[in-house]
Amino acid sequence: MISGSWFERQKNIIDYSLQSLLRRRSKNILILIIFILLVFAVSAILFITGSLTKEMMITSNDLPDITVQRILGGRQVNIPASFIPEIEKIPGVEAVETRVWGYFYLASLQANFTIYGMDLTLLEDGEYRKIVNWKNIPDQAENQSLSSRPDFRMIIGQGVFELLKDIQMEKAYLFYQPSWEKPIPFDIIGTFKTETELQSNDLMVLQTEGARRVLELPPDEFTDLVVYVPNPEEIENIALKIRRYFPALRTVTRAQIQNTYASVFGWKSAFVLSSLLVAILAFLILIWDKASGLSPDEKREIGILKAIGWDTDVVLSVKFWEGFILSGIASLAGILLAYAYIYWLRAPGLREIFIGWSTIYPSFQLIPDVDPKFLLLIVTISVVPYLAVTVFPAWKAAITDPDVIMRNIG
Amino acid sequence: MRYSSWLVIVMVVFCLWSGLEYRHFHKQLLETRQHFNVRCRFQKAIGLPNLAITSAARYLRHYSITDLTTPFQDYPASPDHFPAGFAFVPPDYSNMPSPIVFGNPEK
Amino acid sequence: MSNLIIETINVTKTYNPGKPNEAIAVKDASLQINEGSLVVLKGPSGSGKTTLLSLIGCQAKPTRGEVIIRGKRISKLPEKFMNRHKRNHIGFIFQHFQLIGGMSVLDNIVLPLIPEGISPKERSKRADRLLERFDLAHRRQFKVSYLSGGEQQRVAIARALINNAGILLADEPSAHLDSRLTSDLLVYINQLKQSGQTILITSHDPIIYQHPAVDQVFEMKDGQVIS
Repeated sequence: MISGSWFERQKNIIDYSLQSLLRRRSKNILILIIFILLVFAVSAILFITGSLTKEMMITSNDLPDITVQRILGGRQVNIPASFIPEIEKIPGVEAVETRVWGYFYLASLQANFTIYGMDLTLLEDGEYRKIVNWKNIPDQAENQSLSSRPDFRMIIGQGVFELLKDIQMEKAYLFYQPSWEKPIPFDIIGTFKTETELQSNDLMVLQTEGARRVLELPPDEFTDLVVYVPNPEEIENIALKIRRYFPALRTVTRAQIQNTYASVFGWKSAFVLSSLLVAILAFLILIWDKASGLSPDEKREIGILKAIGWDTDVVLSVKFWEGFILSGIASLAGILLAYAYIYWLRAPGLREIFIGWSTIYPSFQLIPDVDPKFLLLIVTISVVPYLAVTVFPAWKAAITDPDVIMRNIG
Repeated sequence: MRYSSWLVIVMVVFCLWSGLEYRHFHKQLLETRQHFNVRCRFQKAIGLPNLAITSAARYLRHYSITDLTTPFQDYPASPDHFPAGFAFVPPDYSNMPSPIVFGNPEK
Repeated sequence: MSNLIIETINVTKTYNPGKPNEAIAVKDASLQINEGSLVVLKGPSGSGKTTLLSLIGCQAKPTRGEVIIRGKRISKLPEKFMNRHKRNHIGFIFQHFQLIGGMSVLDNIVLPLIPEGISPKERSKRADRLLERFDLAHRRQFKVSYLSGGEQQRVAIARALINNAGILLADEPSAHLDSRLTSDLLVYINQLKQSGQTILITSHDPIIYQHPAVDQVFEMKDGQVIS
């Protein structure tokens, strides 16, 4: 008998393996679907967690080293200016800056804005100028607003701008509380660029004095303080000292903020994965069924193949290809579908669980975070065990004399 | 057609699909790098930590620094807004009449 | 003068040696078969006919003794070489046909050719010749589980002949056939013998071992060849 090439032989073996998979169509399709679903879910969660963490980490290095708050009765309260010189005295502290910020809830739009007070002239010069789309204010209006009302200017985020446009307040906004005598108008002199949308979407940056008026902060008080420490190794020590010297104060370091984020995304991943428990259990049952030994039909088939002259290694190749094709396709499809779901479709359904909801929602694109190490891990832990449960049970039958198999199964 | 030929077709489709996704990945990364500078400058100027996405109640925006209990707000022990509002908008009951009658009931 | 094609020398096969359920299926069996002859191994159930046939057909290795096929001592060969020898020289027809039910007639027949790297076109060509010969062309794409006993028997024979082996071994080929089908089977077997095939059959059916085409009959009892 003339034999064909090695390549043709492999093609024949792969043909036979695919035929064999199709002969047990229903079971294999079920395994494939559940397998794809599990790989898809794990990959999707990895992608979205990674992306959000990356988003957060990108800018977190520029956060203040230590944020200091005053606590009274378990709640945060304004911090008086008297703490500033005391904290500045601590060795290692480069500078202490004050912050004025808070929330402003607009009931009619059900929107919560963040109000931040700062000297807006700092944004008009140098590197910070580029983060704002400055408005073309008419000369007359500009002269009026700058000369008579320098404390009542603001720069707003894109989301705020869209909301105010709907109520025809895109040039100036009237802040009002019932306890005030009259509303306070603020001129909108610019909007933050769309690149900063994720951070600035709901933000209103007001001139400091104006912010104080809106937030009703007493003159010598601030919302919190930020401490700058040039030596990163000293941050924790100094935070500890601040807490020891001033028991009424709470410190939040940059590392703690980063860890908080990681923990929030971490528990949400676990929450979603635990909802897949049913699929995981179904898959384990199917795998257990495979691993606990071949069915009489499968044993008989191996016996026949051996009896008609197939070598043991060819029989095991067939089983290998069966397992490899099914698990390989499932892993690849799962990962590719997960990427498309998270980054093309923007994760409908899953996004809400990880990101939550907001009235002023930035329409941001998640930064793709695809770590090849994780992908390799997913492929390895899905393909290798499946190969093992497919090949090992067949191995025992494949090394048995066909005569014995035939006798046992008639 | 041979079964192995179908498998080759499936593999080619997967390769094309991967290629598309890789191209998208690359394009997004380039775009993001271009935005990095702007975002870092913004962060330096403003310094408030949290992204404008909220995973909890609408009144808590900078939840990593707002309150003593804020870092733990997503834990079951916090009664303010878990689990009602953590993923989707909670229903608005503000216009429902109160079941409780205040004041003296009419005789 | 005919050539010796199959020879067994004091072949013994013991199952589960050394264990409480040890069983000696074949004991010191020696026989010689010439090329081109039709030989029947007869004996009652449990006499060791199937085991001896399995040993000759390379389905198992003897515990002791030698099996020589076309001058090669196959009992000493490693599995890979033994399998190659089996594929090249021996076609086996099993007692219960042992066809794969979910596969078509064509796919069952060409099974022995798959590990050889023969292309589907070539496999099809060879199978079609046999399908014509055994009047199965109209059942080409049918699943074997839908075939009658007689048709399945013919598929089993075709599969055994696909690799152009010179030796055909058949284990109780008429076990699942009625007398009419057994007669048809004997017609096929005789035709194969006329074309030069060496055929060894195990059977306890007198229709088989009393057929005039049979050249030699060996009788087995309790694992031994007694005549």
